[in-house]
Amino acid sequence: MDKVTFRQIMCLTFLVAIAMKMFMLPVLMMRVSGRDSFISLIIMLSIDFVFLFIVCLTLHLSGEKNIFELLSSAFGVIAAKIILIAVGLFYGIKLFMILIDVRVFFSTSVFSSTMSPVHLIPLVLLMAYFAFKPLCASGRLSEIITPIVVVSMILLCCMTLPEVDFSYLFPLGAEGGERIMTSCYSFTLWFGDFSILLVLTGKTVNTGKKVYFALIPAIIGFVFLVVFSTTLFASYGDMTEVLTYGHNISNMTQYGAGSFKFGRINMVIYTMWLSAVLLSAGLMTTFMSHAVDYTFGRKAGKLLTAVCLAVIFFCSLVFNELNRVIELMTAYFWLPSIIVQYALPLVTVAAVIVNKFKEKRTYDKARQKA
Amino acid sequence: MIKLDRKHKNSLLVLFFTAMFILIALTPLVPGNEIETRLMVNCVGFDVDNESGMISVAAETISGGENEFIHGSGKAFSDALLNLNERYGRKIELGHCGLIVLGKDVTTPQATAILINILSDGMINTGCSVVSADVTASEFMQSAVLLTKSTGGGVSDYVSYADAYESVTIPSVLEIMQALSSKSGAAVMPIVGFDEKPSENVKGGGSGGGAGDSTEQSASQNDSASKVTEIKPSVTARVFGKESYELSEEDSRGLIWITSRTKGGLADAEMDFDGKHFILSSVVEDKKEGIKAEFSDKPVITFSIEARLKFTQRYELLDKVEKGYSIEEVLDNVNVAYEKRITEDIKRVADSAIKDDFLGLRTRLYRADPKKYREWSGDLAEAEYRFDIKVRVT
Repeated sequence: MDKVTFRQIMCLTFLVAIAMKMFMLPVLMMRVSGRDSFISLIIMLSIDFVFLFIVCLTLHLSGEKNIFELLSSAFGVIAAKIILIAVGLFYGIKLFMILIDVRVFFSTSVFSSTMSPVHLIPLVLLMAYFAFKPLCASGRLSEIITPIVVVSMILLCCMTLPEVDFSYLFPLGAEGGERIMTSCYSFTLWFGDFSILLVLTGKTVNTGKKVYFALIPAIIGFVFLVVFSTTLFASYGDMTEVLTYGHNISNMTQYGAGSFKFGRINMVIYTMWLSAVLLSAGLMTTFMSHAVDYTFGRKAGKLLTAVCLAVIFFCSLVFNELNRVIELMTAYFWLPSIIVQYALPLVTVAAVIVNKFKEKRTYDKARQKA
Repeated sequence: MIKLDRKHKNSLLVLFFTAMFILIALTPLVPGNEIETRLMVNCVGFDVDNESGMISVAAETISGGENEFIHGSGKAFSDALLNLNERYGRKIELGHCGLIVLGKDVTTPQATAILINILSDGMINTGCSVVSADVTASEFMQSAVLLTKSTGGGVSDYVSYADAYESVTIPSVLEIMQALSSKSGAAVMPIVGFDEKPSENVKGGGSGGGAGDSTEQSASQNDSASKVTEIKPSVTARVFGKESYELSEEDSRGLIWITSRTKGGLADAEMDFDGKHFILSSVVEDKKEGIKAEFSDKPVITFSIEARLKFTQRYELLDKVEKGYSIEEVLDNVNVAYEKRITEDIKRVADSAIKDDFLGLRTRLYRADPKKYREWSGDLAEAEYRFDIKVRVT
């Protein structure tokens, strides 16, 4: 039975809340909006929170229908396939972005002289593992990883926060609202991750209304995220030019734990919270794989997923100008990100409403006949 | 073939992950060859030749308890480090560096360029202390090695001690860069130097009055010329603003009160009481400081200090109590004397900061009201200073 439990949903939500945003996002946002990134981050996280609620609503009301059944019964098979293939393709691109993120982070802060695209092979293999394993495997893994990630986050807080002068965060919004808005929409690719939880539609075990408790781990994740990002915004608000890509977490822990190259505890912490990123990327691969399965059938779907992962890896080999890739993603992918990541929860919740309406009409017709 | 049930499979999976985490986590704990191929630096100093523009790097290394002086030079920051690497056949590692020393002739743009380079490359701890030397950084480092060869440890340990337990305020590299990049555009750091004295002149024991007193415990024997090298009291500071220049001892004194990092130290004050002049000496036990900046008709800066001091010369005032004064009456006068002294110190340093705002007052005004800040001329001479000083001597 490929189903996830209530506890696993809680863990997955927490990990998805922090995973992709902890790598490069704070630095990238700072380059656009300086210390005002704090406002942009809060705005975007608030939007994400609302959309997580919509995702929970779908998980609660969809019953036993999986996402394909939900969409196809509401809008027809063709429309469902088009929607899912578009979303699957988008997550493929996002997966590529994560690989780039991971590579930039490690090449600038951990393995500055040895990091090459070949190092991504185990990660791609891990993605394939997620794609071909049932969802409950990801759920179980999240249960194992979450406590370790939480401990590493708390350690990071203890080591870093006492040394930070948060007064440098102010004044907020002094340079006008334009750059805040630019920062908001430019980085939508890094937000909206909760839509991948829609892959759990119809695959939860007796969660019922309890699914709304998933909002709590999301809030905890957001608090960690905001605290760490604020540390960076406050410390470097007046000198964004000092920061290089992949510098974010490294610089934070340096307050308390020495250089990132030799800081003993830092490495342990990176290793731990990195697992959150891997799991989040795994869920994206799962979504992509499910989308391909639903559209082209199970056998062809597996083959296509393998091909997609190979293409993604090939792209990470070809595009060596990592910073350029990130700039391109920021410049051109904000619109598809908004459309896919924020429209999908709305579409699924609309499908739930349509299905309910259809069910009611069928029921009424049956009663009339009777 | 053994067939495992689901529970055992899960246990194995957990074990596998735990083992993987432990292995990965232990990797950085095994230094192996990597550290041996590095020049582990405890303290690094920079000089810039203003005519040729050459940057010189001097450093104190830590290598199995033996401290050595190393140096290199180049036209750019990276060239200087490369030159140093080539000279000693190992790569410089600043991960454990606790102190950056800027030579006495380093100008503000040069200091900014050096620190921004060192910070943006992520090669150093952002909490690393920064001081200015009273000589060139190279000379400073040579003296430092003489001191630490005899006493062990590194010079950064002495400076850290002074920062934490005496009255010297030493900023971190991040704080310096924050100050230089802010609206104030100026920073201040203490001037640290060494003294060489003939060995017979060295006296042990307690230190004299005044904040930021010498760390005499750091004196060490210099074998070659039967002299001792010791760290001089850090009582003056260097300002990096439009220009770089030295603040006098009197002008620097107020910094101790308004900088949050300083925890204690000695504090002097003068008091006239019952027709007699007293020099008071106390230890700062605790202090809370605040600088509030706001715009009313003109910029208003309020310095507020709440300090708790422990009086160290009780016996001198005991005869006053015997003459019929109450202890409260005597201590009230002592409190007033200290409040007056602290107010004078802060006023003096605030006046010094009008030209180059090393106290960060413009930044505070900008934070208080960005709109009014833009309309303001930016001249701190227009600002009104208010003092809210409360001292309790016990």
